[in-house]
Amino acid sequence: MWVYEKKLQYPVKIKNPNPALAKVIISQIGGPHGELGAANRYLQQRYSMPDDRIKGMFTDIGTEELGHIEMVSAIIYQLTRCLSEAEIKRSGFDVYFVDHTTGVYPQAASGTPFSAETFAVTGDVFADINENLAAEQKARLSYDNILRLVDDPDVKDPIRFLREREVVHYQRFGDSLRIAQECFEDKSNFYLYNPAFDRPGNIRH
Amino acid sequence: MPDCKTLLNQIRALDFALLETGLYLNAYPCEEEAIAYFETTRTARDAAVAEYERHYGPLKMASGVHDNKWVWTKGPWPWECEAN
Repeated sequence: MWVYEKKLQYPVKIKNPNPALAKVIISQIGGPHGELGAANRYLQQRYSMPDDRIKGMFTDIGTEELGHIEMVSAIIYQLTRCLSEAEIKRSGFDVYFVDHTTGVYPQAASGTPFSAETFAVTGDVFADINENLAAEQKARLSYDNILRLVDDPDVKDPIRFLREREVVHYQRFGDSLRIAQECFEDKSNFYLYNPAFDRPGNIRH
Repeated sequence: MPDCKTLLNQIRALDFALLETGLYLNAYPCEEEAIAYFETTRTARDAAVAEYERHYGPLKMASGVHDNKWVWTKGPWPWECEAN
């Protein structure tokens, strides 16, 4: 169960619309390292997690990512308001506009629609946690690349906030990996079996 | 009495502190200093939210009635410039 709070996690207040920037930043909603994939990946992976602390971590980070979808969507919404037809053509936003007008559609900057493959639910505890460590780094580098392309301080400010959150989440998934390893009786081989499915006695190698 | 946006930003800051401490406590549940900080921050957060909702409108649907009127849907909504 979730309850909506009528506020952004961090304010987004962009004075100057800029559809060319929106075309790039939309990748952080529907792209391969975007917030939509992150939120649903953690929330769908949590059912395989072996320890209450990790179940809590995946639930809370997944929930925060839902708020990040909203923040990036607010950035896209504000960057594309009150556009003239001339601006739409000049900025290259026309290729998006033709199908989606100024709606916020989850796609990568390349135009590829959002793929559920980004959810990457394997049902294997160590595969999923390591996936998430990589995913947080990939989201961080996408925000770094966006910051290279943006001059407007109104846009940079919330993007920097989102980038910092990837760093913190990486740290907490690192804690989750350590906790998962501590769950094992055999500390010499953490990968002998998948605690979400196997029991030590029924492994076939 | 702080204005609407100042108070909203205070709530955001308190929520941020709670989230950060909460994620930390998920991994380190026995850290007494973090538990004390979480509880102090939560008390301040509850007070700030109560003041905000009394003067500026609901943050949750459960607080959507004010003076016997349904005010939950009254804008601006969070993604609009005017709300931030």
